[in-house]
Amino acid sequence: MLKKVCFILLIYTTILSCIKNREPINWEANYSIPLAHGSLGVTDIISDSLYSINPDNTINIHFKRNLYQLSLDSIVELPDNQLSNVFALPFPVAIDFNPGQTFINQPEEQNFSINSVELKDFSIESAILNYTITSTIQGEVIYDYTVNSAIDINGNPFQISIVVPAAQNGISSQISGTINIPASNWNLEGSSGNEINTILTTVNVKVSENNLLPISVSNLDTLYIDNEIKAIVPISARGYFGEEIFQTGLDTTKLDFLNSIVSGSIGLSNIEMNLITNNGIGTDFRMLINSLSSQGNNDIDLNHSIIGQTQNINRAYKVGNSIITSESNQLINSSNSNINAFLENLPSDLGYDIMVELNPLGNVSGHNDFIHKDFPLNLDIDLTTPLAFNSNQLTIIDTIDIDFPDSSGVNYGSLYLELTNGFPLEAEILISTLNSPSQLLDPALISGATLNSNNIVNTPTVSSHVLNVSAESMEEMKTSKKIIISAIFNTLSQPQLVDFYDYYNLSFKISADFNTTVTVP
Amino acid sequence: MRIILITIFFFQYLLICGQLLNNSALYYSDSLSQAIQFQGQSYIGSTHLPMSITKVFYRGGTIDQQMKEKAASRLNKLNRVGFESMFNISYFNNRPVILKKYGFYLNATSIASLGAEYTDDFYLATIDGNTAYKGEYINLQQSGFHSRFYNSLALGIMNNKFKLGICYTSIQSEINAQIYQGGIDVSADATQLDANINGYMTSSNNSSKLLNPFNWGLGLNFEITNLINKLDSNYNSRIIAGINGFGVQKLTLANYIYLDTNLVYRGAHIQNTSDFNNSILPTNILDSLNENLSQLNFLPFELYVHKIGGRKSAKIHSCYGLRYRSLSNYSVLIYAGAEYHFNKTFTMGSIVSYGGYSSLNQGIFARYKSKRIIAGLNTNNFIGLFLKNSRGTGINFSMCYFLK
Repeated sequence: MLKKVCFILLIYTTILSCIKNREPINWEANYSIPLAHGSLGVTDIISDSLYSINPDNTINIHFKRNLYQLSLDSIVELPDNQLSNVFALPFPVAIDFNPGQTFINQPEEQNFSINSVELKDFSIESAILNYTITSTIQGEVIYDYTVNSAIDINGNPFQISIVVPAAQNGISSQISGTINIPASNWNLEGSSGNEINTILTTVNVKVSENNLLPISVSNLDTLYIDNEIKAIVPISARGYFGEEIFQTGLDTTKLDFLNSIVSGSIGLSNIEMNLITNNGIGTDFRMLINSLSSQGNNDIDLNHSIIGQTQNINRAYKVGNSIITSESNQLINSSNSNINAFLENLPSDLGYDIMVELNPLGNVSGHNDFIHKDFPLNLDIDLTTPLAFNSNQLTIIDTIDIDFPDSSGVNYGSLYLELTNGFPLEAEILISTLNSPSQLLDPALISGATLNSNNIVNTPTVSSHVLNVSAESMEEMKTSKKIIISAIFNTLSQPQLVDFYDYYNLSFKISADFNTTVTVP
Repeated sequence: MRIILITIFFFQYLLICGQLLNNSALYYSDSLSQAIQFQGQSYIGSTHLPMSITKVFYRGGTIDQQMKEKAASRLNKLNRVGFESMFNISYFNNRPVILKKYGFYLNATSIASLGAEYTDDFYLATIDGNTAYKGEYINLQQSGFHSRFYNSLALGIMNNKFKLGICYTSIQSEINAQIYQGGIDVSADATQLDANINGYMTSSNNSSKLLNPFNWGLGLNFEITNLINKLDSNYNSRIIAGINGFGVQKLTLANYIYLDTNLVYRGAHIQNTSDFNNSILPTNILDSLNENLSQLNFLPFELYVHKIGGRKSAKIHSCYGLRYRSLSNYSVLIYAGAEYHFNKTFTMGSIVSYGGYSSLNQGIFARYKSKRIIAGLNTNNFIGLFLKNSRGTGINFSMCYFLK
């Protein structure tokens, strides 16, 4: 009977254990959910720093970009420096030195190689000291190395102390290692205070207290010291930076926000572009902009008096520890240039060819040029334009990354868009998967709002659209993780320019019907 | 009479459901001195879900369209599905060792229970999705569920007429949720979901220890046995009525959510292009309603009434009764049936029941009885095991071993 009972209990337990190890439960269902609602105006789409609102509610767009920069790294390069010493001891006969007794004490001036630049001082964030010491002395010695010129933030010179093991049975001992040099100011004026690129160091060698007996040292003993200072991260420098010419040659910078435009045209007005030179370096410069070109539908060179004309750039100066930069500005507008055509060309790249001459008048500062890593020489463009334009078949194509997590379970579905367009702009939106030309959005045309006689929006236009995603399209999107969106914009009342106001907006409600495989783990 | 009963037996097999009852082998003892009883039972059932779906719930797999349609065709306004599993071991000593009047008993029980009660709208919106409810109201009123795992120890006194005991229950885990009133309005274009919900959800501090120090219950077990025709020694028919676990439970720092609010969901509110990166689900709503608190509630109890036995010399005895489990999404279950005594040791029977987690159910059972052993096997799930469209399945084993 007991066996029977056990058998039945076993079956019972097995049933329970089956429940614990079951597969996930899944089924297909059709859900309808609201996804999003809201309204977007121009000021919601554009970053706050890129626009300003005028008293009449029109909008100005600001665009600022650095075109060229000359920084500390380009002017003062602090290369790795090899600082070696060989000490052949000057004792013709062997002399015994007691533990703790110093037998080498040697201050030195050493040249700190800095290419063509003549520095009186510099400061660093960090650097690395690699050392290798080889000794033939038959006893343990202590090697103290001090860079007297390098003073840390506490006013102490950089110093290391290394135990050099004893040579054994005529075989030299060697020790090497790496030490981080902390933030410090380096004075390169030498012991006289009038030098350049010169550092002061002191080498001390004494008998280690670990020796129980005096050690014998003679002129047959040698101490080889190899120090290398490398990976210097400079903060600032002072001296004479030489006369040098920096040339960009023909180069380009991308204008990402216009990169997606593939065809069409826009009309703009009242564009102002400032070319701003800001010099934070304590040296004079001479700058020549050989060319500035708009590389879009065509290549259009900027025609303005600044092109091809040398500009003198004054040096920055210091008040106490503060650096006062030198700034100059050249206004480029439609009355003194072809800036309208330059931008209506819809440039995806801005081409430039710039030459900058350092210290064109020589060492006029008496080795008091200065440079700080946070105060370079900058050439910026600062563009301001009213958001008033016409666009004609302005076509933007972009490939959007989408990521459907495998766990989403969505098989197919439809997105419903209810739009209330308050912009004087109609758009034809074409959405397709990466490998299929069939359009997912129906209808594709989003009509613009109606305008009054002053080209101001009178009545927003309401439209409904469906984005149908079949099972095949969904599978393709899950695989490629991309969709292609093409938008063709046309302003109303062509060819007149239309002002955009800060209260224009696009209201929307988005809901979805979708078939999904629900999975319960 | 025999023809009628045989006819009932026959047609019962055409029904397709089965449900478990608390059939204790001890009930069929004519006299009791000392006994040990083992009892185990498991049941899963629903008022509308076919076993093909119910099996998916515990085995996993896919619920296909055919299963969904079958389940939908049987939907009522209010529907149930549930699973219960119990194992207990008891020792009975009916000799008058306490106050020279009463015997005593000890019992250890482990119970797992999972059940849900829901509206047809709730089911369809979950399983088929809410697309069919565009422009309509999803009624959720009276929907709720529970998940429960208890271990309990009981100690009590007994004689031939009654048992009275006290039970300590360790609540290993408990989740209870109930929507008293409410539902979800789906706008015609599905751009707005308007949920009006009045309900709660409680989730206990779970424990893997045999006795959970945080959550406990204290209750009374009471059972009375009343002989029918007690003056006629030719009859052994009796009414057995009882209640188990009537008392209170304490849940310490249970997670509690109470909702009595109207939530309007229109998707993510976009006021800036960066808002598109935000989650479309309002994660902060439930967080803000969450609180951890200690609760003192009624312990879920079980109430039962069984009529068994009959004229001793008769081959056929009728049986009927009812069962109810509180706070378990369970409706009152009533049953009636008959058993045929092939000889003094072997009996088979069948019952028809209605209620509980299921609707109309049918089950068969067999019982072996000797001087030392009474063992019963209730195959309430017999048909449910073979027909995928049946609505329940279960097994109940009970064995009582009489000590000298």
